[in-house]
Amino acid sequence: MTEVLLQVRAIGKRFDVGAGRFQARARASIQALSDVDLDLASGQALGLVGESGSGKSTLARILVGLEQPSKGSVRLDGVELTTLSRAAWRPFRKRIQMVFQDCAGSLDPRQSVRSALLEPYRIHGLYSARERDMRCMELLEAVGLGAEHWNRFPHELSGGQRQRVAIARALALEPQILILDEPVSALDSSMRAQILNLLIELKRRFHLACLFVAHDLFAVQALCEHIAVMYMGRIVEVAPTGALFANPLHPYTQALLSAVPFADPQVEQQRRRIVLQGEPPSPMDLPPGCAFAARCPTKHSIDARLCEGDRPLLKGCDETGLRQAACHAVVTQGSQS
Amino acid sequence: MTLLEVRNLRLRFDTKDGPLQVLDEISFKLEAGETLAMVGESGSGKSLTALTLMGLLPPGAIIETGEVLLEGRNLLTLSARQWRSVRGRELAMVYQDANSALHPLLTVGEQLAEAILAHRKESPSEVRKACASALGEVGISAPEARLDAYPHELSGGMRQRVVIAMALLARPKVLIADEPTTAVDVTMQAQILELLEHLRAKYSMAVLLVTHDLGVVARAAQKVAVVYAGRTVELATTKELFQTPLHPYSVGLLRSAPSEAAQSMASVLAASPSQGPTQSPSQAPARLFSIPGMAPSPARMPVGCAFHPRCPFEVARCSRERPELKAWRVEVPSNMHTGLVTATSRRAACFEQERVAAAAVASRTGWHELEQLWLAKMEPRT
Repeated sequence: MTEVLLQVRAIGKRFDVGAGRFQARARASIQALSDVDLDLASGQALGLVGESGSGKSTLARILVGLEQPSKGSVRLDGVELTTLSRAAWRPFRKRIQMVFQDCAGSLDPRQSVRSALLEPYRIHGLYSARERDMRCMELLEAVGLGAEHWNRFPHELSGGQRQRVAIARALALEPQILILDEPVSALDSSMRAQILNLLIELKRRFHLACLFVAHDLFAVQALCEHIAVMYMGRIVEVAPTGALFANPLHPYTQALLSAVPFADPQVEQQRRRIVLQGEPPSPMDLPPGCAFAARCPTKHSIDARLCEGDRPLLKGCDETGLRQAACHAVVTQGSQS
Repeated sequence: MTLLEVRNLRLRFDTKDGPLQVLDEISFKLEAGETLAMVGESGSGKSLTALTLMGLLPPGAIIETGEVLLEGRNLLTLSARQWRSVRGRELAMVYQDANSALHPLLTVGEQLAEAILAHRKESPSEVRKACASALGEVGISAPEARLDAYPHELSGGMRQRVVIAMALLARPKVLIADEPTTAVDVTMQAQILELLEHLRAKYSMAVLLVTHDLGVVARAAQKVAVVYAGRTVELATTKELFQTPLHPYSVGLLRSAPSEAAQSMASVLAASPSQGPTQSPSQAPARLFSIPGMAPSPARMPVGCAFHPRCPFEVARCSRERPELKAWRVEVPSNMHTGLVTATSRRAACFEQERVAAAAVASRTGWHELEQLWLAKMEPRT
């Protein structure tokens, strides 16, 4: 097993709603994340999937310090990041970088590609002017752009090219960890494949640890060795990518995979499809038991009161501990066999 | 009679830099009770075709030639007044972004009522009843109570349902759905597609599904129109297209869809759920295929076939002449396992479609060779 670079333990995040300038006390609070554990190892990518509102992006933002967790710890090489001051964060920014979904929004429209790429060096006061330029050219080349893009502005680039610039900028400081928040979901299918290929290549070349947040399961599959599935702010299943696709354990994962349409009409006709009924519970008022219980199709196979009253914990489901699921039904099944 | 037929639709914008040919012979037919998917990259003219069908063209758009026949009546000759009785009543549209399709300051009930009152006079209580039943029909629970909700009080999936309910109020013959599931996640997408399917079957409505997701096509459509650079390049049933694509662009498009993963996953999901956890090593990620090059911009359309600069099957003729979309008799294997070959009539706009068909069939086993051919073609250009 490769060494763990980033260790996330028991992260919880609550947002207060209603508190503001004219109202001191919060009217309610939203539990965006609870008890999230995960590890990122160098050269490995972890995919984080789940429906919108499941807390994926909040977690990503906590890891890069854009958001403070309400509880829990994030450790990089043993150093606790969540309690760092802004100034103390700065050296760690070099090691953790983020690529956002909306590349049009993450690039300054009045800043040329060159200036956008030089900015990280300016901020951190690294290298001489000549060396900065040289490094920028190398970066452009690494992401498949050339000297002709050097002086262009974001509006002169296509969506895919803008995302390449955003990736190049994230790589400028030679980070060890790259947090990717839906980097391909705004792109259409052919562009998506190109950017994914680029990410696969960069990950290998720079031995990056990646957290890939996405709702597109196929995109995640292309890049990641492991996948974590989130539902209502909790991780409900973690598994190696192949194993998760071949044999999803958590009923929510099963429903999620069965909802993905396949580009094959024959498969589409034959496959067993689980269409979840109803809507997810409100994050302001989460049920005491399993958050998925109300929509769960397999709940009735075991004692439903257990699911509604007792929150299942993420537990290892095989000898290696690589597969984990948070479901009463799965754990029962495992102990019987 | 065909319910809706679009014939050789050509549309351009005149700009100060010269004319932009954005639609260049779009053709397809849609029968009652059937779903036709229009697929293509962004910028290929899918959404503009949908807007033409609704009579909602942006200012400056000039229709050069073509017909849009709804039960034999050409919609392109209608006056603005006549359009009003057609739009919403005979053809209705569901937009991609349910957020901007709903007015944020009006309740769901008020917006639905507006759609009813635009077409007929009814008493307030009847309107309210009709609105509630429309919401019930699209699977919204407690529809009476939801009538007084504002759009921001609903989840994304529910907003999309409200938009669908609104489109269905006047029982249109044709429903145009422009990327109805792009803005929602997979679980919601499955629900929306299921709903559209249910409504299509119940009212034998025709659905034109605009999408770039081949998974959605495979799940929801019976027929497909593949468009490239404003032109229909292939028309086929979904089954035919996925089995033997005849246009090189269709071949590339199908190939860039993640179907191998789908296969392995599907075989497991189709069977009964397996017992207990299984072990499988985490494999190294492989490269994904995407058609090399970029779609041409309407300002710089290649002469001849618009796809020829990206096409591995290009011959000399392709950069001079433009292939027409016409019916071909092709021999395709009807059964992969027995190797039985049948001749069928198919429509594609390609000079070399027999070579393409042969390569597409071969590529099911030896895709690697075709991919090399494709990549080799692009190398000297980049």
